[in-house]
Amino acid sequence: MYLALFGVSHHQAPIEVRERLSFPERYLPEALRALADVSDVREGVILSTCNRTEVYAVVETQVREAACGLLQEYLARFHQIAVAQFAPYGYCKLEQEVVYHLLRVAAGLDSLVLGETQILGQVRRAFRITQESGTVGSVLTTLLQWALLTGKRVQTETGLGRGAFSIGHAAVDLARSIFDDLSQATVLVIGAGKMSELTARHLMDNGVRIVLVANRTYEKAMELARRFQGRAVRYDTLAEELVTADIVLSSTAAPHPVLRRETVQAALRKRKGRPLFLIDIAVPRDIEPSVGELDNVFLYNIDDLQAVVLEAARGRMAEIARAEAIVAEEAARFLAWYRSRAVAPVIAQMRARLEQIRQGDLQILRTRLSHLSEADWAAVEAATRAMMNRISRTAIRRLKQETEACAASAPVPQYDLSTAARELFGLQTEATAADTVSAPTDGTPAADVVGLDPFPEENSAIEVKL
Amino acid sequence: MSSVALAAVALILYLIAAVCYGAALFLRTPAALPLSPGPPAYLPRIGRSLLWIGIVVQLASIGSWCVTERVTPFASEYGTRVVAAWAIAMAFAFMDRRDRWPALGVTALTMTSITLFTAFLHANSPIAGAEILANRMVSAHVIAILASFALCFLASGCAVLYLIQHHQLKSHAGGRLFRMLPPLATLDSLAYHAVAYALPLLTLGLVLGIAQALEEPAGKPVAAWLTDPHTLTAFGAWFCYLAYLTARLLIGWRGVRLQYLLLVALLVTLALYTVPTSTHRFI
Repeated sequence: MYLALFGVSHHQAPIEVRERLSFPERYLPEALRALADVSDVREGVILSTCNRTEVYAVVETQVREAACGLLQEYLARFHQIAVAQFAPYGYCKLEQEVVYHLLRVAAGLDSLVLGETQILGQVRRAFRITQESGTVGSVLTTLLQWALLTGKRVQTETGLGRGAFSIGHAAVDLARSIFDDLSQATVLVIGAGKMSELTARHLMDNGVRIVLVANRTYEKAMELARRFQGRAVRYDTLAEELVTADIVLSSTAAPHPVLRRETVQAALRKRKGRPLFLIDIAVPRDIEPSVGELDNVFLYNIDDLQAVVLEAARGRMAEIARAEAIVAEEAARFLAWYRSRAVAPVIAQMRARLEQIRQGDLQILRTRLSHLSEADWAAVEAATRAMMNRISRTAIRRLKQETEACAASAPVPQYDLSTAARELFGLQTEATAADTVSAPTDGTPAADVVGLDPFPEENSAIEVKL
Repeated sequence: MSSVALAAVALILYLIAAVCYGAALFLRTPAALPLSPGPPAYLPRIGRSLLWIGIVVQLASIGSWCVTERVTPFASEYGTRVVAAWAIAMAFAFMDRRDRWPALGVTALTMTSITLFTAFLHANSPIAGAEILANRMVSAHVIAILASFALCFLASGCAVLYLIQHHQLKSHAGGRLFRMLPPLATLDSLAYHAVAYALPLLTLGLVLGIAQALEEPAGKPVAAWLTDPHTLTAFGAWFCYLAYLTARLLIGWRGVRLQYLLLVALLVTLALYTVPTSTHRFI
């Protein structure tokens, strides 16, 4: 069983291709069932967002071209599109490349806006839908859980997911530096355009409840106010509304300033020093720049807000290394578990085989050395067990080392020590038992879970007295 | 352990607590990030624990001094300053129970430490033997005044932070400092609450002082007590804080002007301890 991924994303694929390959959420269960029906696919997950469509699968083949071909054909069949139309824009990954990729995606490191946190929710949603569809097994379940854990760690342990991602975010951040409780703040939106709506929406998402809308066309103001469950105000009453508003968001298409210094100054006299946060996102500007010089007035125009966004972006850039380190650490932990799935049954079978040999030989000895006392037999038992442990310890240690080395970097060798051990000890070749090894979710090293170091040290020091 | 040694332990504890609050600010506020959801929980927790231990140790220091010298702590410059530092620490500890802002922790604990440090500079100050100091009403007068000034110091600290944050927002400076400070509204509210508790205490202290002066203690006439620059400055400070509350509650002022008023009040309060006095000297 091998992990495979085929996907298209904003990095290479134009929007036309991404649109053709996207999976609306309502079609996902059907798409997942179709994926599960593909021969050679044991498990499958689809992650479809506006910036990417990725199909993760556990497949029978470890040949890259074959694995990719399966997933590409599936996409082509489901979306009724020729492979050639999207394959050049896609990427194909196998085994640990898949793990690193998904963990980076969940951490927001592969996002269009670096560090954005929305992707974590999208991965979570994809996981939930996949679980409900029943197309996911132990490997992808564990991988997705690991991805969610990694994303959360990156969010909480680094600053990658924080800071203003947009003008709206920046406005909210600044408002929070002025007002302690946004739910008590009143926002006056001047202009009923798209930008005002988006920025006001951000403020509302962050607690603002009272929204007043003013627009030259009163009907448009009413329409926007209805969407915000706010109140429309007449454009000619702006001066009065300035007395009650805490945040003013202006984005009109007016060629001249809408708020002049005298208007704001008059309002300030009635406000008695209450802070007034003015957000001017119009070009040309709606608020006279000299308004910013007034006491208790904080005026930010589009450039100022963009500077906040850029500053946050620079801050996030500094966090990339920390986020990448977390991804690498979690990927290594996952891969240790993933590889151990193949080694655990080998170790168990090897120990069982040696034990079988030991018991057989002891039975023969019992018939030949019947004069020995029970104490002598206990010593013989201990000696043979110690011998068995000594023989197998090195082999087990080597298997464990190889598992860890594989998890850390190297690709899966074509002929690894697990295979060698199976052949040398005449063990079963199928590794179905591997699926029964559950993933550690509490940070326990995978090696401990599969019992890679099962022999206590004291066994090797038993003195044998015959 | 002597009183001074205990006070030194308390000073060290306050300094470490201040460092914890400071570290909480710096470690969890990466540059160019907005108000972080909060510093690592353990750092302010350690700071808070050390603050409370420091308060207890300092109380033990004051108690030990009183027992050893058999006088009230206000009989010496050293004792008065130690109690003043303790009052600031206590006032902040109560403020910190509700509004947990590491920036305030750093400010308040720095004030506490500086006050306690100045007490050490007067560790060998002479002890007054005046009979008047044994009077309980005098002790209550001093305690009320010191408690009110502790709260006023904290209010001034909030005002300073407010002005810094205001300047950052006005100049669009952004950056690390901007992210560390509480919102303007929070600072304004904290300063107001501190003064709202401080003014009644200050009034009580002054009333007790006047009541004591009417008895013409130490053979000095009432007029001498009431016209003493020390007393007049205390009334000046009282008037400033009253003006602050009036402006805020009755006129509805908010913002920068109020913070400047608090700073003026702080200067008057500090002047209280520098003006020459003929009545408030007992040595």
